[in-house]
Amino acid sequence: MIDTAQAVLAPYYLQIKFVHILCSMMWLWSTSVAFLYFVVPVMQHWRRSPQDADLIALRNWVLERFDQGVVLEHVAFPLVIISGVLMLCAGGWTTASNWLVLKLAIVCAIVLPIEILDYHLSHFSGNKRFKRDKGDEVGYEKAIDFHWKFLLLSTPPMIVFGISILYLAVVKPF
Amino acid sequence: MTLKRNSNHRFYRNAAVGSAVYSIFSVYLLFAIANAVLQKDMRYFDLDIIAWVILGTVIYGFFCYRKLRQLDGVNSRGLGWKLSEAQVKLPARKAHRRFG
Repeated sequence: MIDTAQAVLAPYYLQIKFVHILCSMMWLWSTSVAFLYFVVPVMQHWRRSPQDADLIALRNWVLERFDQGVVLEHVAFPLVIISGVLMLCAGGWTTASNWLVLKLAIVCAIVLPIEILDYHLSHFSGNKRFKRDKGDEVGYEKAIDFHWKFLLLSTPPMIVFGISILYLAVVKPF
Repeated sequence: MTLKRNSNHRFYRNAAVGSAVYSIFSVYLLFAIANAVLQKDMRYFDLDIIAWVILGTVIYGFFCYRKLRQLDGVNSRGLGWKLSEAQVKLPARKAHRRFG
């Protein structure tokens, strides 16, 4: 079956690679401007004055907009995974390529848990707008707090390992 | 529960150590075990490799600690555009009118 898939997909390897790279870029960078120039400054000001009503309103607005803004990233991520699997089939890559094994280890250990939690926080029960619509004030504050902790903790790994994935895929160093 | 600014910064320290140990060791172990199982290649369990992994964990842990504090506004320098109070307050009033 893998041989059949390889035979069918092999002529389209470069096209699949194009989709994979395009979606990887979308996944890695699509939220960076919103995060660095909107979420971080507002959250830092709110952390300094947590009782300021104006800052609370702005904080809520920014994080709710951020929940919507990550849609692009979260559409790209499944496409990265699907096109990656197709490239594995089409290109005949094996585990003899250590760069690929390391890249897959990073994806499985770091990226997948972060993205699963990110989907939960942005689109499912962690979504702030859903909680606001329900009138769940306590749940809303908890969701904001949890999301900020998540963003704090996931940013350093995404800086280091996101760029590592890109480096491994492009340079194939070993 | 809102994050509290802590004079000894225990939150940042624990988060940085936990994140560094989990991130580096989970990736290393997955990679080394995959090589051992799939390629019968045990060289990634050598002591010199493990020493490099531990050194990497320490360096990455310091990086995480610094980034966490920068992002949370404890360190003044770092990621993010620094907005003045007035720059933040202006959109805050607009947002308040629209969504408050």
